[in-house]
Amino acid sequence: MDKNLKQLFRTKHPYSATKRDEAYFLAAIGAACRDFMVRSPQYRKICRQYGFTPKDLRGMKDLQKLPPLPTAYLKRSDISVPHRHIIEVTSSGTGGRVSRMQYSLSELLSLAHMAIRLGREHHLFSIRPTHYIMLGYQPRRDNQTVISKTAFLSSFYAPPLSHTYALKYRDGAYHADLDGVRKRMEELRRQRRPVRIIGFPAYLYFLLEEMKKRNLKYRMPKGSKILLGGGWKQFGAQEIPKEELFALAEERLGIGKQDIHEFFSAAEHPVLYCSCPNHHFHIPAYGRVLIRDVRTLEPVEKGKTGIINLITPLHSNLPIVSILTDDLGCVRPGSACGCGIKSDYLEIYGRVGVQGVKTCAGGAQEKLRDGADGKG
Amino acid sequence: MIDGGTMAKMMAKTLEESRLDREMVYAACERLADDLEHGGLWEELSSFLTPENQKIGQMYLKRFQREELQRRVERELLPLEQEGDVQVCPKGVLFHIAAGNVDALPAYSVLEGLLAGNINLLKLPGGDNGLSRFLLEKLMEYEPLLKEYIYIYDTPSWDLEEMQGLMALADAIVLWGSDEAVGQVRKLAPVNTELIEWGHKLSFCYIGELSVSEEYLEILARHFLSTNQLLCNSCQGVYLNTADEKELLAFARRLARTMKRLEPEYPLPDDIQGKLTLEALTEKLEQMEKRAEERKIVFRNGRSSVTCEKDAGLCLSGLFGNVWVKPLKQENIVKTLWQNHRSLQTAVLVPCTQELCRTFAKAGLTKIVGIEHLAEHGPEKTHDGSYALQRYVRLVEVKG
Repeated sequence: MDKNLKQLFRTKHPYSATKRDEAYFLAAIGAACRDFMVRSPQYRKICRQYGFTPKDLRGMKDLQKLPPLPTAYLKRSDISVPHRHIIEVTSSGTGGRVSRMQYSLSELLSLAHMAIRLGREHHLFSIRPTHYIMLGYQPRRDNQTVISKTAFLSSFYAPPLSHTYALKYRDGAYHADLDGVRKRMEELRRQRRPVRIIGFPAYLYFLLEEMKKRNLKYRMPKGSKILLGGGWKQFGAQEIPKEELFALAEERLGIGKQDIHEFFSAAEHPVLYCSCPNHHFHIPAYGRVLIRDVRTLEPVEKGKTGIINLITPLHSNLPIVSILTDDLGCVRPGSACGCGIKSDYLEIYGRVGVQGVKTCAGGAQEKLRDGADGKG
Repeated sequence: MIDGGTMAKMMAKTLEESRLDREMVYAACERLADDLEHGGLWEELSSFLTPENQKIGQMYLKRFQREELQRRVERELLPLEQEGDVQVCPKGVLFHIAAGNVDALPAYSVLEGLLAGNINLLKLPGGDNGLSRFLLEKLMEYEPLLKEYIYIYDTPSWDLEEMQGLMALADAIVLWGSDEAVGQVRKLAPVNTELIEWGHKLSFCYIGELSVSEEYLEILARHFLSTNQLLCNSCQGVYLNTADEKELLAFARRLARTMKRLEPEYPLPDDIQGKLTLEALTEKLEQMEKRAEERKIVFRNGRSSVTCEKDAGLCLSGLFGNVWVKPLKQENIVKTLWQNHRSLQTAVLVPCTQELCRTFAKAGLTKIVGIEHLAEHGPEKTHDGSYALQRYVRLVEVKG
């Protein structure tokens, strides 16, 4: 593993990167690009097309010269290279296809350093044994999605007493059991151990809405927290503003905004973004974020909205050093937040595309595929 | 939670009293159309529409005008009503499961149900912008009796219990949606409840004579850019009556140039533009993996593009002004298109000759129009080959 990369992920200052950290970052990115250009003919071709060589990386500003690869491209094309690994994870496959990332032991250790450092910064660690409500997938060996693994791992910030899952595996498929979760929460409110609710915001919303419908309020024990991540996925059309969701959580569970933590990451970008007390995602030293114009893909200035471009030297079998997500967002200066963290922060506005709107022409395409066997 | 028993009793009483007169519906709609045009209601209403949907919304709302509604009733129901030994009655209760792809469509579906005399339960599409509720509430305000004939629900599709409760109350379910949606409703609906499906379809333009005028090219380009190719009756691409690749390329280049000139008039919001930009980059990177002879030729503008394809098979385009152009000799039309005849809707013809009309009717199209009629956008005279109002009534044979 590259020495610079190792040093970068062991930084003690995740939100106030030193000049040395920046030097590690640039050197590690350069090494990753060189390696991929040698080993992946397709990546080499792309870099040539962009007129990019690793020598162009003289300062942090030059990161914009890296060819940004859309996540859809990583899912559909195979530009991976052989990589010594101990684990393979996939994206969640919301759009039908997945990208597969492999990580070696040393890369996993670097990610663990990051998770521990950020856990300390955001006061996620606790020694009190805790019950976990997992609003996500029950782990299975054949479920390799990053989200199922990270959700499970994040249940070790406090020693786990029990795990209750909203998506249970039964008869070869996952089934939502929100009522089971609700019943478990009814039991947990009567004991003294803290409860941590971890998972998709959509499921939390559905759960809280159901409780509201039934006029139920379960005040969770002191020290309970909610940890949200993974976005709204296929439930985008039902997405509500987070302030509303937080207010609903306080009203129904007695868990205040200060005890709700949000996480942002991407399968193709393993850096963790944790929300600050003002619920902003400050950019840690392990990654950089550029915002690109929705038409030209040129980088735009701070405060302007565009496509989120995530950059990190921690790669895998895929050249994920610079990826274009499907999300729109903007970067604002750290000072605009007021929480005390100096680094810039990222605001995420949602996915590109028509949210929740179906096209009748689009539906007909499905029929065309089925046309041969007469389902149309 | 719906109280099925009480609802059923209430609706039975409404049907028994049968106080709804078509004139009441016309009058309420007339007042709505009038307030939209002169009374300042349009401003309130346009706040529900995204900028790119303003024009489509306006065209749809024109269909709320009295004359338009009367024409539909005369065309679709009057011939049935004039038969001496047949009495035309409403189905009773219609449950509309509306689609979200056209802003005013859920309200329009209910209006069709009203014209046929039915009680209408409307399930709004997920993420609905509130426009349909606004329109229907206005109608109920203008004609309070309509309150007994219109019920609006926000029930999400995943609330199966409530969906089934609504289905159980209905005599027929009017379903606008994908195969997946139809399949789900079929599973949930009571066995004896009729399903009236308005499924998903594809449309295209056919150019029989290649010397197309600039005027027609502009109509076509505006159609692609203004409809965003999202509707069943918006063209996905253009078939050319040729097998010559050079002719195909020359046409694609001309069309792309026209679209480039017009596209600043049709800006897209950031989220859609962002999606198109990402898709274009992904495709460009994928094309780099292919050998030169396998690569598609794409004429790309800022937001729109024209892609030349060798294969004549009907398919969805890239939407939002990203169009395909394919070769299809006239003699191959029926055999190429018939395999997908269940998905065909409108063919826009240049020129609209009788021979071409006959050929496309044989191929399975349900609507054939000349390009000069392309700008008249909105609900069709027929829905996918049948008169909607006729499907919302039942015929009672009377021999006395």
